[in-house]
Amino acid sequence: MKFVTPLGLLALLGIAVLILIYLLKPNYQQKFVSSTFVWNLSLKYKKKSIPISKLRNLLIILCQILIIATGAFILGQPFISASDTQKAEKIVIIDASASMLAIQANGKTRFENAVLEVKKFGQEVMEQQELITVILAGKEADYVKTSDYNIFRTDSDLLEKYNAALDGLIAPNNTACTYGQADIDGAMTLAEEVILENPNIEIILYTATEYVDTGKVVIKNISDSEWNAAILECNPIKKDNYYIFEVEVASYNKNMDLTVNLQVDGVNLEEKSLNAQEIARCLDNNTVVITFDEGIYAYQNVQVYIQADDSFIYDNSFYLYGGTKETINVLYVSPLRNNFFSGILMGLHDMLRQRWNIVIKEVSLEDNPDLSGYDFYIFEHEMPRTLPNDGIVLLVNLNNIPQNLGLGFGGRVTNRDREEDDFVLANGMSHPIMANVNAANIIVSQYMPVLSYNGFQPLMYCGTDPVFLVKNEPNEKIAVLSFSLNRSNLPVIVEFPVLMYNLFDYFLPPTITKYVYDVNESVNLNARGPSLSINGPGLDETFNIFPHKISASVWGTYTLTQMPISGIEISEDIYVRITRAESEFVRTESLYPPFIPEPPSIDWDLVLYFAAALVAFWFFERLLHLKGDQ
Amino acid sequence: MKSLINDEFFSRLETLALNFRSDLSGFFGGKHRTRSYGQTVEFSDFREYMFGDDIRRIDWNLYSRFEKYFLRLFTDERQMHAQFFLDCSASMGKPNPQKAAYAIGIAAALGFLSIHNMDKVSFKLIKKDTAEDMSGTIVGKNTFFKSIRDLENIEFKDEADIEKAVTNCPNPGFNDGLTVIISDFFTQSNWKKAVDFLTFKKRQVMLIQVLTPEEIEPTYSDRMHLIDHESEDVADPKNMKIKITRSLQMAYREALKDYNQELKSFCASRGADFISVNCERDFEKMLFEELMRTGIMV
Repeated sequence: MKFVTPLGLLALLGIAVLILIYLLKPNYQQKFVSSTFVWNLSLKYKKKSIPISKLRNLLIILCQILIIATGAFILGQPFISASDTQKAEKIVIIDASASMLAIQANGKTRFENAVLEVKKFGQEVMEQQELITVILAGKEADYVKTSDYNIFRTDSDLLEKYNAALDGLIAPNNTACTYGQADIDGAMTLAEEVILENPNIEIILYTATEYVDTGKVVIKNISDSEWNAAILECNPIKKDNYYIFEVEVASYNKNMDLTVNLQVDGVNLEEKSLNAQEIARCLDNNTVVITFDEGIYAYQNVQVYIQADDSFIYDNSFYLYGGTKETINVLYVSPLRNNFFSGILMGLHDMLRQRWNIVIKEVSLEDNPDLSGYDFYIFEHEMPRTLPNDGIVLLVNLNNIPQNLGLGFGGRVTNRDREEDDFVLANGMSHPIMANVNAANIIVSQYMPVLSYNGFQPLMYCGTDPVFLVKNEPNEKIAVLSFSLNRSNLPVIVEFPVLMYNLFDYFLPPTITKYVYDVNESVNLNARGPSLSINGPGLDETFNIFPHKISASVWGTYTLTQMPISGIEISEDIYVRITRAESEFVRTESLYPPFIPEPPSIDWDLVLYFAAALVAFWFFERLLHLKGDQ
Repeated sequence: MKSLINDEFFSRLETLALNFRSDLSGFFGGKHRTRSYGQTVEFSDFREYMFGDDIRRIDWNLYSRFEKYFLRLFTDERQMHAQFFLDCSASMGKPNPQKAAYAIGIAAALGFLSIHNMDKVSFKLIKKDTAEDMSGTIVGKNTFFKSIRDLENIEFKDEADIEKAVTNCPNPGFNDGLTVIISDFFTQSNWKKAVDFLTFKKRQVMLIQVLTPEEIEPTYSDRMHLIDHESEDVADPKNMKIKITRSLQMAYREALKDYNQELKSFCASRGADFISVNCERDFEKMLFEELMRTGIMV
């Protein structure tokens, strides 16, 4: 208990005064009366006094002393401060980012040394009867825990569990320290849970990263003399159809000449490799960009590496994949080849150049083409007897019905040769193929109504008759347009290229959008086949539902394998790298500490309680007086 | 001490008179009718003629009817002697002069009524165990008013023994009037013997108790060292140290009530009158109400 105005306690002297009054006060006050005759008589009438009266007098004196004491306390404005009632607490956040894996002089990683320091610190905190919370800021911040216990507001009673939990962090094969970035913000959010319970806390962050001092978090920088030579970035830049490899390197905390090696496999679609080497002079923690221009227009994979005896080895090499585009063979079969299809296919060829190498072949059935080995078939007017089953098939204006199509058609419906009687189409069910396609813009003068379409999804209607249907099964990927482009305005409106692009994008989606990802970065996976397998460091999974999101928590090369409708297995590699920021040993980051409310100057104002006590004592004293007077 | 008696007050009293018992004999020459037969014109009774009777008083009309001699008897008017024993102890005057003034006023008022009705009056001051005759027997208003001035200068002090003062009184009288004892009766002396003595002397007796409000309803409380005004010093056993609580105050009231009841009962048993008056009360109201209620004053 503390006092706002301790001078008020001087009123306690009143107790001394009271005692003095009791000592000096004459026991009996003199009173002159005419006669004591009746008083003498009255004594016979007086009830026998109870011996408790002496105790009562004592209680009265006690009450009076207490009244003065409580009055003095009220003047002193007593309060109990938060620090008196709530133990001081420590919140320790351990940075478990990749940079904490740097090896220090004692042969241990920064992370291991940080954990040991925290363990020792926690024991000291508990000895002082304070509470400690330990948060591990890994991929997602969480309390350090054992199988059955979180280090959350732990006191000395749980010292053994505390030690066990921290020992577990640095046990062999433990992956507590990530290859990605630390979720410091999440750790601060978790710290708020403790702050809600007790604002009397101190947050200590064990890290090797420099943070802007906010004054609210104590930064324990455990970095020593570690240095890091790193490949920060490697970009294949296509210039004049040839790749130029730009490699950004740096050496932090040490000036040196770095030898940057480039190894390219599968150079220019041939089974040969290429090696190159450049020296990068890395000074004052600045980055250096090295360019390799080796006349490469295609490659299978590229490895860039440096040889350095630095503290952090995970960024000493870098891999590039996707140097060779996959070929998509398109067969356009039509007895009356129209330029609209040719034009749109050429447009797609250019549009998807970064993704595919689209090869277009235009034939007529009369040429007896080989109806296999293509990824995309377009049949117009004249249909094959049986549909190919190794690729996507688009059927337009079917003059005859393939045997294995599975659709039932009615007779052609034609307008009465008057333009105002043309049919306007309408959208069917919502579908990715119909994205940005407004069927109401499409007018046809003749079509074949589809009467039965088991397994197909109708996407466009003419009246109540489906005229555009899609089927997407693992072994059947078919789209049917039951009207002629020649009897429609579709080829001359924007819906046609959009529809064709959507068909390609829907049936031939890119597996990945890029070939280099950061650790813990989200990877969107798509597949042309029913399943996709991913295999890499610590990850071996197969997915059947797409699109699918994953994130790799370990750096390295991951292989994506799928079996498209063509039956030819496709493999692609991606490289998951250490986040560039983790390689930058000298970076300074911002810190967003949680809001720590100032402990109120008076947590519990006791004036009211003392006032209540004073009233109670006064009431009790009066009661005793009243009883004494009776 | 503020005097309660003055000329206006006496003039208002002139219409009143003391009502003495009729069996008192008194003295010749007064205004009080008694049972004895006298020479007034007011017929009272007949009786047979006896030898030696004044033949002038024979009722001849009755003789003509009964052929016997009957005398006509007339009521007699006598002079009474009113004695006022005034307690002059310290308790009557020291603590509250109003009490003393009240007591003197009562004595003076009743004395005036007696004088006004041609009675004799004696003021006897009870000091310690004697009754000091202040002015002797007073007859006539001039003497009375002189003695009233002396009465107002009485000094109230020491104790008063009512019993001894009354019983040792050299001239208490016999069947000749009224004796009024004015006191607070807060005394250890046996006042009952004094009443018995006066009753024995066939005096009409009246006890008037004069009390102050504080004596009726003490307001002081807590630890008190009560100093009796009649005590000789602080160590006097009359003085007492008590803690006056509410219950004791209640006991006081009860004791006083019982004591007064005892006074009243005893007086009633002896044919005496008793009234207790509060000196805070308006004097004239008290006089006209209380005394007239007892019948002593008509």
